[in-house]
Amino acid sequence: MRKHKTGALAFAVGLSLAAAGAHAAQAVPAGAPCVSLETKALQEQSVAGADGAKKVSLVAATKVVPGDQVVWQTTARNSCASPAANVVINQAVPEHMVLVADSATGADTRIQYSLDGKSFASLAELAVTEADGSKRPARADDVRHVRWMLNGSIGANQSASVRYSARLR
Amino acid sequence: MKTMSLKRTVGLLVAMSATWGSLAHAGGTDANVLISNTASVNYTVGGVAQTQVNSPAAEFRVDRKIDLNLIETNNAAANATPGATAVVTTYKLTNTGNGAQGYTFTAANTGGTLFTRPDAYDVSNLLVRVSSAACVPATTTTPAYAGETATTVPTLAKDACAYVFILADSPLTATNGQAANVRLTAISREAVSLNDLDPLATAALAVADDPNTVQIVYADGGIGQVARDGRHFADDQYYIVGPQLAATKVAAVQVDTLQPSNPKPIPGATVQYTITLTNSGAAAADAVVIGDAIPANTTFVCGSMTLNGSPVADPPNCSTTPPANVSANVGTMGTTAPSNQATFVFRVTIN
Repeated sequence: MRKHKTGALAFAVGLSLAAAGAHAAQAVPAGAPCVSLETKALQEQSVAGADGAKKVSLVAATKVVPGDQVVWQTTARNSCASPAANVVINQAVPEHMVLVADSATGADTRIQYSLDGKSFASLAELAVTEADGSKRPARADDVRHVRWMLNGSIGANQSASVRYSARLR
Repeated sequence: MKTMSLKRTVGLLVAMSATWGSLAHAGGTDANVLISNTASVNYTVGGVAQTQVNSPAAEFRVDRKIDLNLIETNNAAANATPGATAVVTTYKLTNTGNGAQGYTFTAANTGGTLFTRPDAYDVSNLLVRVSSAACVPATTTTPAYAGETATTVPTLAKDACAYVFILADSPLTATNGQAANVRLTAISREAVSLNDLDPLATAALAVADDPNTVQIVYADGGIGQVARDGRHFADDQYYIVGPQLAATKVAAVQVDTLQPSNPKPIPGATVQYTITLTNSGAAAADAVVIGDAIPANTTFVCGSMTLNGSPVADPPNCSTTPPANVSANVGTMGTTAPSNQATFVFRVTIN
């Protein structure tokens, strides 16, 4: 049983505070959670190297026009001494953007999708009801949320990154 | 894992999809829209669920996409006649970028082959005029030039279109079947002011990036077009569809009193001239007059003129003042038989 929504957290928060206090030596501010999360909007940039070969690197997404793809990368960092387990990272596909098919990746993760942010499943298991009542399999551009469930845990002072690409309408 | 309810169909999504679909304009998301995204993480430490953590929002502003499409509307040449003035060719400009832009135009002769015809002459007095008629992107019905005088499009909204005309003159020297190719170029400008777009932006992605400001990104291009210059051109053609008249003249000695059976052109003999005029062009010729000078040392025979077999009235005072020239009004000559041919006959006597 995985709790991926906040619930009955008064108890958990109390514990978390205690844990943070115990690890003050690791420069974690008092009261701060163990895992911090950072999201970046990145773009692929193709640069010709000295040998003429094109190298694709990811740079901060700054010049984005309709039709362009943006890589949304989220990094979870565990600054506590104890491993963070059962890590579930949730991310919405922003308005005006559509998920690029098969672009969600994350090392040693199970990836699920959602059309409404509530029910998550593999893309093949999701269906969309058309206006005429007929149902069709969901496509990548129907997806509004992506969820990564880490199989392992994030060790002390370790981090894990996941990403997906979305195209600006 | 009780949250995994498989094959769950979400009614809400239908409405959402429909909305998104209607928003999916060709030009895309408006410039300056802020795209923001946050992630959340849930986890446990020591088997205890921790408070959900949200990432700070990662965001960027949608930049200004400059893209346009200019087409020649009917995929055919505009027919012209030699000397025709202000003949119209029609073009359709569509703003495929993500914001309102202004446009200016240039029109010029161009070479090459269009509609399988090589460019063979130049038109003159090229004028660009913008149609005041409404342009509906999905339709192909094009308006006619209606005396508009506008030469620019000050503002064209995202996904909107406008019709543009070139007016041009064909020279009298152009002949039937010749083509003149012309090129209309649309140049993206700042809306309303029609100022130049940031010239630095022509360096495409070389401009320093800034996620918080709206920058110009040229996205235009296409076959034969210069990529990322904010310009788009379309070619059209003027095609001379004119009459092409040719005349043949045959002389036959008809009456020779000395040698009736084998007439010779000697003084006193009568000579009949037959002029045949043929229009082999692609258009009718109007107000055609067929005429000839009476040769020296001959005298026109009054009452001898016929046009296509019908008598033609003599010049005034024919018998007392022999005419130096004779002529007949053919009128309109068509392009197919029999109206494409006229036969003019008259006789003279050798003095």
